[in-house]
Amino acid sequence: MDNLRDASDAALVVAIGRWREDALAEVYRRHGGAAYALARRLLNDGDLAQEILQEVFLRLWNTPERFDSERGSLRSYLLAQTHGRSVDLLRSETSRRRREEREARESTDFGDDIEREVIDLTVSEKVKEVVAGLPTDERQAIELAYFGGHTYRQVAVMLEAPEGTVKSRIRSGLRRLRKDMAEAGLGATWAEN
Amino acid sequence: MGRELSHPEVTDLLGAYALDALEPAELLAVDRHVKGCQACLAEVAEHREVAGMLTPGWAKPPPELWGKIAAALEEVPPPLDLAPVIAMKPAGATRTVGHPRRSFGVGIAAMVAVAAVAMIGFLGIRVADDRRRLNQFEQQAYPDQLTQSVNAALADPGARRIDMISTDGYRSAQAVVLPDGTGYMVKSNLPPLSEQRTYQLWAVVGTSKISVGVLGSKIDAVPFKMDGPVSALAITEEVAGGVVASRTDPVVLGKV
Repeated sequence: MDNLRDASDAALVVAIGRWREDALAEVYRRHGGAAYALARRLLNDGDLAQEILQEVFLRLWNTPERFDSERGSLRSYLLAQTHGRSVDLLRSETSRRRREEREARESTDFGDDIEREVIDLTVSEKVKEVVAGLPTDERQAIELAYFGGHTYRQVAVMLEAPEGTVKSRIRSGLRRLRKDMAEAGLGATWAEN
Repeated sequence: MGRELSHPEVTDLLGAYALDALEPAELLAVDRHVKGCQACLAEVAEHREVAGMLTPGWAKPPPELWGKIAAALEEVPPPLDLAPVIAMKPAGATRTVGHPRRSFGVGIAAMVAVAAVAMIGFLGIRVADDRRRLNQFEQQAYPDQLTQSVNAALADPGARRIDMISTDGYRSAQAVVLPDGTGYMVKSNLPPLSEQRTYQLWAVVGTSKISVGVLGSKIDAVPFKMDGPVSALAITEEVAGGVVASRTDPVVLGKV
């Protein structure tokens, strides 16, 4: 595999398993920006986002076998890792003060924030359209959980809705998004270069 | 949430699980179910693909970040009093991502790890039998309390997560250790052993290795306690019941 730029993500992970640093560099080139954007969005802190990214890519280097190409794309795997570690950090004592400061700066008008996040954070017009087509209650629950780093119970309090309702909204919203994205021609696979 | 969740109960939570939106107490129970349920695994993967498409596009990382990552690939474990490098038996791995072939820097790390293995295999030992029995008693008598303790440890910002890996990188285990030295095994991909065998956890302190827990034939959320300047944790495979002095190579090893 001399030309890594033409290699599939799965092939790159195989190369990483053979300790090829250039393969990891290519994965970083393809997906590092998305992971960094997600971490920075969640943590609102570029330095912490860098720490998360370092951890995620070192983990891929050390344990590439954790990625199973049959269970999803490398991009979604890396983003899930990034999200999980970012949320861990977000909920830790260390970042609590930063988070409180950030929230204090944000608008108290909740609905406006949700709309702004949807507009700012989706990657394409098609995705925006699909997300905008979600019922508002499902969209808010997903946004608060995914981008706010809140647990569904916290989301229930914020939305003044029963916990059971919120967890159902998150699941039904994700399923609806998947179906709508497929109908809109938005596959779950991403361009790899 | 110490009790097992039914499949319908878990499926209700899969959306929140995929978005890392569960409370710690629920996370362990759902995690346990999902790992053994193909249908749930598939649904979680689908949810995560969708979530991945919602991510905020692309932000160019700082130029120096890749340099930091690349430099970290070359790091070696902290200095230990090393014995000469000896051959180590393979971990019996089955992964499909290819055969290890390390670069120079990583090769150094491997040599140091193997040397640490050699040291562990032949240095003096001290066994904490009372502690082991207490751990086993706690695990059997208070499973719900144990789950709560593990969850609390995972949520504790002062806790350290210690990753142990085999020298070939195929096998791994993770422990979480609180500032007072109380620790719990939280995950591993070590294969189950026969009833005649057990995994045993060791703490490396100076030039000694100290048994801090007999983990059983299948590693679960096992509590342990470690004291002193522990430089590494290691897991060996032993005869059931554990041993006072291990003469086997660690299956996984991780710096503290």
